[in-house]
Amino acid sequence: MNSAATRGMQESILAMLLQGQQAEFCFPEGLLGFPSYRRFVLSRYQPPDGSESPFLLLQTKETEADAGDSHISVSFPLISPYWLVPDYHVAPPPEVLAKLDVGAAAECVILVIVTLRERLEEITVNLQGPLLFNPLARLGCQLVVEEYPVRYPLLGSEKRT
Amino acid sequence: MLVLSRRLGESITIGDEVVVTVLEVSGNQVRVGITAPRSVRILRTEIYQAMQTENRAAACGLRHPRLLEKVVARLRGERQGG
Repeated sequence: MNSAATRGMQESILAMLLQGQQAEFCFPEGLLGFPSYRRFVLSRYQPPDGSESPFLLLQTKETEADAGDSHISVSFPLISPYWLVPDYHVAPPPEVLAKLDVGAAAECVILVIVTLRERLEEITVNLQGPLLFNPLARLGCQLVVEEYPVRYPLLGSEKRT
Repeated sequence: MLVLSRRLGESITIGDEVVVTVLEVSGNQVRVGITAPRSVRILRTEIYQAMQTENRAAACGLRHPRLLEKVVARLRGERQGG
């Protein structure tokens, strides 16, 4: 599938998924560094002025306080990697596909985490640690794709690609 | 930390299902082979740590009020500007 088709497909899966404004997901293994958070809510980020934005939010659902720091809710801004790198490509190993209960990565929505920093020029996206979401089973996991950088600049990328 | 000495070709068994074998030694580099269930995530430590650090940094990002709003405005400007 070419990159424009992939991007279109991703957007339509996401549109269907978020028809009900938000969708809950289970990450059986949590995120790297946050193993105690398993349940997340995915939603679109809409700026207060009502304009459109390419961002989504992944917020942890509060869980039992006995899971360490998990009683504090944490939110991650996300964006589609295809928005920045049109030919972005992940090839999850079979065990990851099995964990997500999918036959191929194309069945998943793929999003990457944005690391916001106060200076806008320093804001980066983590292309090395994409999040894969199975929209049907509502399962998610974080993959490691060593070919891509952990810190890829967000701004200016439209001009590069 | 448990410290064990192993010769070339020897291995270490961790738990019931993980085996680490020394495959090659040359200078200050050691090649190891790892047998583990597919469900066990195996990463080079520096990769794991970079990912952990970045996830933690990202989790703090939304503490800055209106930062994401500014980014959206900036992106809109970039797109319109060409």
